[in-house]
Amino acid sequence: MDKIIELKNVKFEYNDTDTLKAVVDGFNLSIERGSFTVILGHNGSGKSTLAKLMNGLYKPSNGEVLVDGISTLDENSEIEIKRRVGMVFQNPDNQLIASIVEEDVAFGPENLGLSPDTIRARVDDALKAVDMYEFRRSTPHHLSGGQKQRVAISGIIAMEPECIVLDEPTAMLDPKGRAEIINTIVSLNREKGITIVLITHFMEEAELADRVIVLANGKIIDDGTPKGIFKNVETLKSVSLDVPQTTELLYALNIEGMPISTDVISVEETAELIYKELNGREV
Amino acid sequence: MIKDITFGQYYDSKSFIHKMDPRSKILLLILVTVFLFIAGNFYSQGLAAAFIIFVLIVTKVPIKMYLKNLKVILPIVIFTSLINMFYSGGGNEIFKFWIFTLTTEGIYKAIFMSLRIMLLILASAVLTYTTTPNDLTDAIESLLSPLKFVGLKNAVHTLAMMMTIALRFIPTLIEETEKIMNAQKARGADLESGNLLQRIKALVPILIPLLISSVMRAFQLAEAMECRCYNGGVGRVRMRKLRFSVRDFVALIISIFFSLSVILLNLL
Amino acid sequence: MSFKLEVKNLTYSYDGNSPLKRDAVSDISFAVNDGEIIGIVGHTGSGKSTLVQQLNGLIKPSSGEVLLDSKSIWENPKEMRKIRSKVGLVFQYPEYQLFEDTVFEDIAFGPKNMGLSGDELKTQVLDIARLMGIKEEYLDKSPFDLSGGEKRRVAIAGVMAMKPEVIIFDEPVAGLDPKGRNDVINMIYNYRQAYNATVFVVSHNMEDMAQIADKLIVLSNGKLIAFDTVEKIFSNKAILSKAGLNPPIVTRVMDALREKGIKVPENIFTVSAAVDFLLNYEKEGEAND
Repeated sequence: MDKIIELKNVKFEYNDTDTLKAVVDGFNLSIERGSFTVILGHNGSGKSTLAKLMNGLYKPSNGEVLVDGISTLDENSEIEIKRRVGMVFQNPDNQLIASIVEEDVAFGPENLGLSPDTIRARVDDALKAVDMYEFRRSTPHHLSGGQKQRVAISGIIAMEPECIVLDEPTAMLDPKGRAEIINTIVSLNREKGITIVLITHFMEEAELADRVIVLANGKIIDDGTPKGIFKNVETLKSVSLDVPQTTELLYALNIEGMPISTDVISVEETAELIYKELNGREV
Repeated sequence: MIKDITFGQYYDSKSFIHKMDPRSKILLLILVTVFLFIAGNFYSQGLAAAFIIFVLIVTKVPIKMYLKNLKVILPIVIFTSLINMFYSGGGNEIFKFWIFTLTTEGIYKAIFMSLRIMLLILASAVLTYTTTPNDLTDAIESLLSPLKFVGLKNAVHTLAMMMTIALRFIPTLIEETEKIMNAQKARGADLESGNLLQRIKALVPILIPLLISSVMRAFQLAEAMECRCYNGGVGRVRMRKLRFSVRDFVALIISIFFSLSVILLNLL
Repeated sequence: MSFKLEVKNLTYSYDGNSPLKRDAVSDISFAVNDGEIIGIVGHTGSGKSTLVQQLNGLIKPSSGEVLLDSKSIWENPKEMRKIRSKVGLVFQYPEYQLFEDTVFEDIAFGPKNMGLSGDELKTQVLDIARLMGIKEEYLDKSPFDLSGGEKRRVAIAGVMAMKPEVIIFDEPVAGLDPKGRNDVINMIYNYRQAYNATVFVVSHNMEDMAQIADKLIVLSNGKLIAFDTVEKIFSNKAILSKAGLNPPIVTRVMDALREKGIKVPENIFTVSAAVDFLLNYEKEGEAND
């Protein structure tokens, strides 16, 4: 399969006493084009470092990171790599540059030196893709957290990236904002075919992914489909991940002696499983 | 929509002047300012006053808003009047007290200078009421762009970028300051009483958190800009191009007519 | 019996000209006792922050009253700082208010502002640190060298150190991992236990609310639409949907089971209650065989 991002034997070291001391050592990972990958990890698991390695914001101290086959160490390709792998951060406030929505979205394409007409067209398309077109003349200051984050995503889409890496984009949002962002991400992946790497510590956000990677202390401790990963609740809990209440319930039932699978997350599926289990017993 | 921009003085009344190119507004403001200084007698100043009042009306911004601006500079107006009143020689002496001498010339000058200051303020208020801060930034960048040819290319771009970011973050920082102030007040911080020294000391619990968070924001913003292919402005193209229109031409003609009249009236 | 804190017809109308956004609240009334834990829930913009900032006098109500021990907190505005030491408020992400050189000094900021000094101050700070599980060796560290979760705990202890009789937490566990969340929830319990304080917790998270709160205040568009026990509110679907909120996930699972024909009681809001019920249900099923 075609790989958009490849990390080969990567090592990354910090030399300061920052809170993000996590060191990724001998790390191998590749992301397939068009896929939707979720990277789960607790605070300080190294997931932000990993994200920043993926678009060359951080450079590996050993090994290499390839974006579309180009090494992030190649100084002549810095801009091209960042254009291909866009990045959205946690705090929407700290990634918006202009005080008018459409001018902020235009920032990336403007840097790419496109013609004003092309920029205009891309900005309009990008705002429509995140359903923020009607707010194009608003000021970010007056938008909700979820809306601001959608503008931030739109600013990345306007660069027409192959892949978007989102580093805990929902961590500071309320439930409504969180749902807005997840819906936006899913539609970008399914409708526009953009490769998505979503980094989060909310397990329920992993449900819609093709692939889930669990990270702890700078190492991959699990890698598979959502169902495959959710089976191992023990592992998830042991690395201090946020487990949704449905999983919590199924897991507790398991411990108490009800042999029930833990590989579902939605309320309906959970109820269905429990129902079958209860009925199975009765018959 | 645009009127959401509460920061700055922008007042969205969609007038002829609002729709002018911000660059012409800046240039014409400079022109008018120069001719306010050239206006040397009451005839020419009277014309200037009439012209500026005419412009105020065209902006459709409520006169109340302009008066608010005048109120702010009232102390300066009074101070200048007093200085002019008592320290300009010539004319007939009206009365004399200790070192103060009031003359007709003094009264004349006081009125003249006060009017000039007030007209200056009103003229610049027209610019800020009718132009969004963003337009102003773009206009300044565009007007300074000839400096590129004398080796100041980066300076112009950097200045414009700084203004853009400042406009974007000022409301955020105001909100953050309020939040931190409230958090410290909730811990019993006393920000309202005490002498000057105590008050300055009381700001420490607010300034330190504000500084720390601003530095953090700056780092995060820098990374976000890098991720959006920002490269110090090399090869950057703006989506929005400022364009002069017929409106700007009309405004220019009127302003030139005004300027010539000032010169003529000065001869009276 | 008189109430610890009573709110009468509290109204705040937001002045549209101010650059600082605040949500309006209108005609809110409720009363709470010592030792109660009250959850305040509502979607963003429902007026939660405005309400809590009125409880300790940071925002002056447009009309209505806040009574602490039956006395209006605005009776003597000069004494407002005293009120704020009695009604503590922990803001969202309180770690951003840390500023002193050491953890000790930062926790001591509140009590110092109340006029404590010397041994008295030291005892009060150490008491809270001990009660809240902040290790003594941390007290001399710079708060900026701590991890995110530790910073949060120090910031919370900084408000608790004033020993407020009423303490309000605005989204106290936002952004924390499960361990950090448990630590903070335990702090809240410990404080209530030790001082029989009235506690308010603002949260979006209904699962947390089910675990922490005794009663809930439900806000919607600046109005109080319900004030009742957690059980009553979580079993009243109409109120929750009016406020745009979902019951806890586990309750939704139970609802789905009920629709499938299983007789589930209405009062299951926590995982442990659900487990108890399901295991017993299973046994009954087997017994019927």
